[in-house]
Amino acid sequence: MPEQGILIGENISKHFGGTTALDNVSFCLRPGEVHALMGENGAGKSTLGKIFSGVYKQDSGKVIFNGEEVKIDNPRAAKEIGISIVLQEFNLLPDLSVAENLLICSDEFYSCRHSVLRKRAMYSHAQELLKLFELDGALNVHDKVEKLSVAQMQMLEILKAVDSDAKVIILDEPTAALSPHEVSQLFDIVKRLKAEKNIGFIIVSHKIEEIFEIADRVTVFRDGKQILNGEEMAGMTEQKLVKSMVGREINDLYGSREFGTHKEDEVVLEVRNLFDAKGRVKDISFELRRGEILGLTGIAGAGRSECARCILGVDKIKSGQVIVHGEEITHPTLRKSIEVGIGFVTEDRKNDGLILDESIMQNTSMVKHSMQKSPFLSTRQARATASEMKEKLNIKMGNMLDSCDSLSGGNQQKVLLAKWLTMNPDILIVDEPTRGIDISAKSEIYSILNRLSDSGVAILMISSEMPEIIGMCDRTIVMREGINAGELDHSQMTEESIATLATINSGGTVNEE
Amino acid sequence: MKNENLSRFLKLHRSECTMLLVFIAFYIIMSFASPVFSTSKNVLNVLSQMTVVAILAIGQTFVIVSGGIDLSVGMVVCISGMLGGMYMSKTGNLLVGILIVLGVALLVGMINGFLVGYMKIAAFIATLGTQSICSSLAYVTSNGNSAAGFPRMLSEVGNYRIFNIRMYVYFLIILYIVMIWVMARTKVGRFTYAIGSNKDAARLSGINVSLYTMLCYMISGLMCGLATLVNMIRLMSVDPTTGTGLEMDAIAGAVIGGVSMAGGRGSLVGTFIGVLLYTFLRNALNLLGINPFWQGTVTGIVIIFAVLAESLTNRKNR
Repeated sequence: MPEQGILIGENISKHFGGTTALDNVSFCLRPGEVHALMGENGAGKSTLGKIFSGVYKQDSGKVIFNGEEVKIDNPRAAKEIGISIVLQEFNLLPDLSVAENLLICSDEFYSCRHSVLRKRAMYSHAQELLKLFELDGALNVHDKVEKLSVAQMQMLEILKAVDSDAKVIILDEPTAALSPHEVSQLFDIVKRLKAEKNIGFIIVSHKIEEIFEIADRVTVFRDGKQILNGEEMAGMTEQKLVKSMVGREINDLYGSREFGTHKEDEVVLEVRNLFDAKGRVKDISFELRRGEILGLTGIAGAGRSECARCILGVDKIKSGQVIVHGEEITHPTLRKSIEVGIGFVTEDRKNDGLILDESIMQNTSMVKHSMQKSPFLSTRQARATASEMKEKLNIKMGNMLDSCDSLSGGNQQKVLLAKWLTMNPDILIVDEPTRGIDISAKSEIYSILNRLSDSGVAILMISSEMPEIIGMCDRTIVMREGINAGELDHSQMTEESIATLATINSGGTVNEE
Repeated sequence: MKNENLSRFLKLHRSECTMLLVFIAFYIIMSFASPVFSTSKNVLNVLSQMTVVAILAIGQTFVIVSGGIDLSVGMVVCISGMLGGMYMSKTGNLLVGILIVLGVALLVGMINGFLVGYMKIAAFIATLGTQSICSSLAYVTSNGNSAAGFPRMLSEVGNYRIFNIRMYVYFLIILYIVMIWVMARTKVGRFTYAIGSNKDAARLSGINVSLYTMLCYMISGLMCGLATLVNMIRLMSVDPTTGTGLEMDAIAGAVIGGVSMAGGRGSLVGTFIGVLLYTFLRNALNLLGINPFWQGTVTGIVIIFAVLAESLTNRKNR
C-alpha cells in the first residue's frame, strides 16, 4: 500500500567501511508534518537525513520525492528539488551580514546580467522576510553573522531554507545548543511553517521531551535497524520510546545519589564578587565544598561558561577573588589553576576540548604532558595512562593509537574527562558534560561524576538541561544575564523554580527561601 | 594482529609511503634513462647538494606543522653567514665565527617566534618582514661585497670524507635522526602537532601555546644557522644574494613530503623524502639535458601535483 508522502525512502542501506549505518530501512514523510528521527548516537538517524539531503549516497534503496524517484548526488541537487538540511555545523558566512547570508545567491538582486548587487533591494527584501516570520525582533538584517548567537544562526539557516522554496527541511539536532526559551521560539517557527507553507520537517534528535512537544510521528533506529516506523506520537509513551531507542529500560539515569550528604565542611573553592572584563559575569560569589556537586545553570548566554572561564583564568577578570584551598589565586591563568588542582572539561569537545586528529593516547595524556617539567615524553607512560583510563571509564575504542575522530560522541566525551582525571583534580569544572551524547553514555558519565564526588572531588557542573541539574546537583546557582539570580537546594529544585529564576527579572530582589 | 598494525601504519603514514614509492619509481626509471644517474658519484653529489635545503626543511616542517610558515630562512642564511663570515675572515677565529652564525640565526628565529607567538602577527607577514630586514642588513654590513677567505679548517673538516661521503652529509643524517626523535618524543614536538591541529584545545589543555609556537620558530632559526655553516663549507664565500629562494625550496620539500599547509599534519621522514625527490628531480633534468629554463616549470608542476594528490586522497577518506 503506497503511502501518501512527499519524501519516501524505500529499503535504504548504507555502509561505512565495515560498519552498517543503515540496514534496509524505510521512511515516509507526509507534507506538512513534523517527523522525528530518533535513536542513540551511531544509530543511523543522522545518516538517513544526510542521504536525503545529498551529503551521503545510499548503497542501495530508492529515494522518492513528490512521487518520482530521484537521485540526489549533492546538497545543491537536493536544494534544487526542494530538500534543505540544517546541520549542526552551520553553513553560514560569518563575515557577511544577515541579509547577505540570506540572499547572496539570489540572482534577482543583481542587475546588469547578474553582476552588480542591488544592495537596497536586497536588504529590504530580507527585512520583509524577517517580518513575515516575526523574526524582525530577533534578527537585524545588518548584523554580521559572527556576532549572532547559536539560536539566531539557526533561525537564519531555517529562513534560508524557506526562502529557497524548500518543501522538506531536515533539522539535525536543532536544539543541541539552545536554551529552553530559544527552543520554544524555534518550535513556534516550525509549527507556523508546517501549517502555513505545508513544509514537511524531519527532526533528527535524541531529546525525548522535545519530540513529544513538536513531532507528529516518530521513526526510531537502533544500530542501523528500524525499530519504529512512522508511529503516531498520539498514544506514544516515554517508556516505549526510550525502550525502543536503547533496547532496554533505563530507570535510574542519574544513579541513586544521596543529596546533601556529600557536603563536607571543607570549602575547596571560593569565588567572591567576580566580574569579568567583558561584562558577561557580574558579581558572582559562591563556595564549593569537598565532595559536593554544585550546579551552575541558566539559559544560554547567561554567563555560565564565561564565569567558569574566569575562575580558570582562560578569560580576563575585571575584579573579584578566586580562592582555592584557602589561598587566593592572584591573576589566575589556566596553568596556575591546573597546578592547584582544578580540572576543566570544556563544553565543546570538537572545537576546544579534544584534538580530533591526534590519537586517543595523545589526547588522554595531553594535560599530564603539558604540566610535566621534563621536556621528554614517555610513550610507555602514555600507553599505561590510556589503558588505565580505558578500564576506569569504560571507553570503547579500537586501538589507542587511532585518532579521536574514530570514536563516538559519548566515548569522545569520556576521553575528554579522562584527560583531566589524569591530574587527579580536587575540583572539576564540567561544562555541559553530556551535550550531544546518547542516553547510555549519559548515564555512564553521571555515574563517573557520582563516583568522583564520592571520592571527595568537588564538582561544578554547568548545564542548560534542567533534568540533569535536578538529577545530579546538591545545590545549584541559577544565573541570569550575568548575575546570580538565586541559589536552590536540592529539595527546592523543580523545572519551574529553575526556569523562573533563569528568565524572570524580579527587579533585582531574589526570592530565596 | 600484525596485519592490523601494518594497515594502521600505512594509514597513518600514507603520504610518506606514497612519496617513497613515487621516489623509488622515479629512481628506477631515471636509472634506465640516464647512465650517469645512478652512479655513486652522482648520488653522492646530489646528497651534498641537498644538505642545505634538507636542514632548512627541518625547521620549516616544525613551523608549518604548528600552523605557520617561515619565509625568512633564505635571508637568515644570508645575514648570519655574512656576519659570521666577515668576522671569521677578519680575525681568523673559527669558533667565535660559528657561534656568531648560530647566534644571529637563533636571534632572528626568536624574533619571528615572538612576533607570531606572542604578538599574534600572521606568520606570513611577520617572516616576510624579517626576510626583508635580513636581506637589507646583509647589504648594509657588507656594503654589497662578498665575504670570503674563511679559515681553511672550516672547509677541511666539513669536506672531510669517510667512505667517500662528506662530513656534512653524515651530519645531515644524524641531525634528521635527532629531530625525528624530538618531534615524536618531546614536548616541543608533540605540542607542535597539538597547536597546529587545534590551537584552542591545546590552550585549554594547559599548553603554553605562545611559548611553544615561539620555540618552533627558534628551531627554524637554529636550523638556518646549521644550514648556513654547511653552505659556507660548500662555497667558502657569502654574498648578499646568498640564500635567495632557499625558503621556497625548503617549503616545497616539506609540502611534497606530505606536510599539510593547514598545520597539524606531516613528518620529518616525509620531508626528507620530499627534499630527496625534489633535488633528484632537478638533477635528472640536468642529466637529461633539458634547458635549465624549464626546471622551474617541472618542479612547479610536481609541487602542485603532490599537494593535489594529498588533498584528493584526503577527500576520499572523508
